[in-house]
Amino acid sequence: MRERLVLARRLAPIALILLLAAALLAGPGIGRWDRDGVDAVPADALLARIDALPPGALVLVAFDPDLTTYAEIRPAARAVLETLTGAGLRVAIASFSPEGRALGAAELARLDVAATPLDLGFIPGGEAGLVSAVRGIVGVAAAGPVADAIRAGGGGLAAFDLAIVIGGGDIGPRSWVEQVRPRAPELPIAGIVPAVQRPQLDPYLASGQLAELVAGPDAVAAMVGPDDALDRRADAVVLGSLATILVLLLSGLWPHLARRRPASADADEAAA
Amino acid sequence: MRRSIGGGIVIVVGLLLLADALVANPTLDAIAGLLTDYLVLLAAAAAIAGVVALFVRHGGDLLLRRGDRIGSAVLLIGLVSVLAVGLRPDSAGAADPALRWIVAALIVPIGASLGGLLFIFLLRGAGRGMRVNPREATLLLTVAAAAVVVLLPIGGGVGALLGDVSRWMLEGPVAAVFRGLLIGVAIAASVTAARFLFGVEHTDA
Repeated sequence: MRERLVLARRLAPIALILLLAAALLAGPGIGRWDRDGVDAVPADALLARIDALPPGALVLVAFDPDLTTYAEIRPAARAVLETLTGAGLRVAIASFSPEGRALGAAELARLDVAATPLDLGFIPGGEAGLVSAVRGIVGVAAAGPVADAIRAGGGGLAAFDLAIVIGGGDIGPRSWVEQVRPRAPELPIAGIVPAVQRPQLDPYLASGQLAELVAGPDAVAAMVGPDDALDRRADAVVLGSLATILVLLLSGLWPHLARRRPASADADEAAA
Repeated sequence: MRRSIGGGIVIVVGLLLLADALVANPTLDAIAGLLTDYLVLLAAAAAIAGVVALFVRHGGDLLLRRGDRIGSAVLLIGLVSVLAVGLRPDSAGAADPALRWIVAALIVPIGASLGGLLFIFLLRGAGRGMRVNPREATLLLTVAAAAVVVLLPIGGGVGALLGDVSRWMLEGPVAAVFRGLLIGVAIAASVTAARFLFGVEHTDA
């Protein structure tokens, strides 16, 4: 009996995940990101800023999300890359964290556009690398019109007309405001980050040190617009959240339930 | 006070970078730039040293038949595959399509799966917390459950109400806690750095 109980407890997480997947496939259709009152202003403001750039403007996408929160902002990151490359802008992509580099390389691999961004790769050193990039970000091996345009602009971050920082990890919009803005004050910095970073970035947005900020799934959905995949994800989030609350409740009740077990069961457990 | 060479270097470099941030001077700017470049090189060298150390450690485990040999073999195969693809003749380096495929098809999904496992461990930790320290854990989990509820992406009047509450939570209590933490951390870091720079803190770093 006890072995069965142990086996059931071990299989419970798998059963829960399968149950959730089955419920999701059934398509409850209750999740939606564009709920009433969602603020679309941040997404619209970023898209308007991109639209306002002159043809051929240089845009740097600093790709430094982290694996655990990237799913939340992935649609916005992809939308930004596709918008930038489709708008005839000269785009470069760089990462200041190894994790960001891995995710950035993955996004570049799936990007199907004629004008692929200039890949500036991984710049080591964390915040020191960021400071160093202000003076020079193009490697000697980098070639092509985008690399030439950056060199013509001084070779550093000041050559760009806009920097869009896709954050989530240690290096993100806050690092950019702290390290880059004092050294390249003319460069507008926009951020796309998971909701967890919004409270620490709102003051930078309010003070104008961050030009734009798209934070959290609501803003991401507002940026992407109507999308079936996003709606399915909303369903998944609703189901997953409800399952989490259920498990939390069970976690809370379990010790009380366990205490009511007959004394023989406790004795058996102690002996085992 | 006796100081190590390392401590002295840290003080000199720290003061130079601080002076560069405060004073507009081309010479100082050039020196600070050089030091920053050295720091970047040092970080790159540390990364390479880390790879070499991994190789030696797990290669040694395989040769001497100790530890988790399957894990060591998988790690070395992955390491060598990435290096071979990135360093082979005619490779485009980090931008090589084969390397991008390895990253996109293997490394990112594996990393995301490990991140997803955190969810299971978090729930397990919640259960354990309820057994070890029920009062604090109840408070923590109640707040967590409330946060999960108000962030539910559902439509209609209920969704709008939840949206209002989540916005208030983010802009009110959560923002206050975050900013308090940030200011506190910044003050503590400044005080620690100043004590170190001015030799108040006893250190042989």
